[in-house]
Amino acid sequence: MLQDLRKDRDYTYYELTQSMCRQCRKIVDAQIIFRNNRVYMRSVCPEHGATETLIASDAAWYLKVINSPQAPDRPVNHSREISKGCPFDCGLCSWHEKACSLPVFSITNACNLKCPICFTYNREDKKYFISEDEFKSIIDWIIESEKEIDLINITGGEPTLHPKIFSLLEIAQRKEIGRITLNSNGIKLAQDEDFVRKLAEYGVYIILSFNTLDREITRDLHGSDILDYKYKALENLEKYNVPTTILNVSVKDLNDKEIGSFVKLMLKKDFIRSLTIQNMTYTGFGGGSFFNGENSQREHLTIDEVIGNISRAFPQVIYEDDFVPLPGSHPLCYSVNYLFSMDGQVLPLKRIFSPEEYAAVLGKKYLIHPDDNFHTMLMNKINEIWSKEDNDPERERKLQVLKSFISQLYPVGKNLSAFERQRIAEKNIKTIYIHSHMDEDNFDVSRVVRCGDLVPDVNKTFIPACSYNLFYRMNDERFWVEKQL
Amino acid sequence: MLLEGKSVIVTGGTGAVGSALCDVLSREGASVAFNYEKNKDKALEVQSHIEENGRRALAFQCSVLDKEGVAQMVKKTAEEFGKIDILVNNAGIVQVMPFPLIEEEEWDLVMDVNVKGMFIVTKEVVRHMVMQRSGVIINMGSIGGVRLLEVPVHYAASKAAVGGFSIALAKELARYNIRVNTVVPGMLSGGVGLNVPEKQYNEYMKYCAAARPGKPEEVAEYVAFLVSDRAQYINAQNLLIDGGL
Repeated sequence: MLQDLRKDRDYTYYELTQSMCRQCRKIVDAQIIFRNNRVYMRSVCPEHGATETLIASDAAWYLKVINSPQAPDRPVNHSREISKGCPFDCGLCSWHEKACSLPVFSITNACNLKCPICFTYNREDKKYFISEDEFKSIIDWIIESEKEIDLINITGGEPTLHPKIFSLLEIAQRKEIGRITLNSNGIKLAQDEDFVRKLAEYGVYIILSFNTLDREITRDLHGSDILDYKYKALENLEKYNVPTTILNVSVKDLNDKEIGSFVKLMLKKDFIRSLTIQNMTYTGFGGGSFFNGENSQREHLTIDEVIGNISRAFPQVIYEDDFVPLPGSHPLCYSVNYLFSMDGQVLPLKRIFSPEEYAAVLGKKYLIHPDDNFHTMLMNKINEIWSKEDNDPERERKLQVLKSFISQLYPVGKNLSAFERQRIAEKNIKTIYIHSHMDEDNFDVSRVVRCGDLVPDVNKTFIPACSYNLFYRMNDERFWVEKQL
Repeated sequence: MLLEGKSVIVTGGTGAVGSALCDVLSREGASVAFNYEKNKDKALEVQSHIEENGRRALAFQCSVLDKEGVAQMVKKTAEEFGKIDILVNNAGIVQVMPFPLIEEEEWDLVMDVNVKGMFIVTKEVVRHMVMQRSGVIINMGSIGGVRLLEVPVHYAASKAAVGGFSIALAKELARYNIRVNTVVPGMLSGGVGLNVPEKQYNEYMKYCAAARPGKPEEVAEYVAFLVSDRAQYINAQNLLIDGGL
């Protein structure tokens, strides 16, 4: 007996954090442990026992990114004092470490799909559509608080079903807001070409949910075959040159091997500016009861597994090292790869800039701005690459890509406006974001305190998106009726 | 009016500065011929502006590097207008490119259009001016060719060459009563000024006394005076119009 107790553990302890118990939904202690070179979160509920969830498939990758330098952020306007502890004091509370980088507006609970993987709660008995007054008052206080916002996200439900969607977009057309992004499952975009044309007029960026190219898997993920809607939506978006992000929810052992196809699609089409890969989160209306894998386990896809999938799909073109944590976010929440993509050439920016320069280029936001600093850094880099006598086999290719980029920004004999140049830069610098949401199994308080994706409301409060999905949305009468807190 | 009865050739007449030149010079009484390379719609617009000013207009679609085309333009203008009093060598291009990435072909292109093109047109026009024993030539330089600014080196070199060309030519043609000056605009709100990277634009504005870019029309007004008889004592100069830098 004593001998058994003294046996070595089969894991190495790394650190302690706090997670939640899927059954009682209380915040519980959790260890980060290494086993067989993989990294797990082991949360222990005094009442319901321990659970383990994979958070990284490669301990070396985890150790490299987990302590990557983070850009210090300015203090946020805290509206709540700490009383119950994170995540129950959201407002934000004074422990929150990140300013708002992306306000996320759920403007409706209406949806024209009932996806088995849906990670939100949307009540069906009482339709909710945000009013123009409510939306405007939120926009007003966000601008008052944050002064300017790089981008906002409008989501749902399915936001294209909001009967006043264009009035809302009109309200959001403020000089303090750099970009408006609108999520969509694509059905309305496929059915109503004129709607897409109008979106183009408003300068909206569309985030099109597109998870698989396989009809059978479409049915698994969405409950029906909606693939043709996706193709038609893409066709309409391309026709009106609407800047588009493909949002791909990836489920381990189901559609995760298709990620490379979506990267190819992004690189091939000018109007597709970026690809966001989100891991499957087993929470919410559908996802909470969605299982996959032979043993009906909730298999969590990790960021490093996604990176591995992409680099294997593009050997000698995209390397694992080309991805870096987004400087303003927790390394397990966001990883990003910005790439020059033109004339059939792909060149990740990471290979041009040093880590420090790259961090400076990225800043604390999601978007690269081809501003003065970027221009200066690019010019410095060109001189450096050109003058350096080294054995870099990519030297000529790098110079060629950079020259092509500059030639497009400043074409001979044609004068472009700053806005046109911004659009050309966007077209030629594509982005792959890997965004890992949290669910009941891998919720981590240390991640949520550094979240800049915030859900605002009329009471002038912000709630980090994952906290909102896991703790607040089902307590919000607009989206759910179940009182859980 | 400054230019009553004069006849003028403007190269690059459909650009921002070129179209302003055609408009202002005709408003001041000159008949105006101009060339353009691609923009036919704009050429028609420029032509009608000249005619709205009550002057004769001739538009020629040809590159300044097309010797035959240029010869035809000059011959036809001399025939139609009876003489050529004024030439404004305005056509030019810029290519934004850092020094390490400029290839020989790009160097040649910029030098060809900005320097060789000016040479081809001037040579053709000067024959008429020498015969007339009078004339005025304005060559468009650039602030990039005379000041310490971050501009593409091939463009700066070509515009500096414009200055040298003008001075030597002024000396050589003085005996025929032909004046030659270079007008050196600073940052303008139209033309190649539009293609200036934001960083360079902001830097210029920081040091410019006027704290704004110049307007193509302001350059045209300046040229109208310089080519007029009132400016007869101004010769062989690099004349800056830069808002105070």
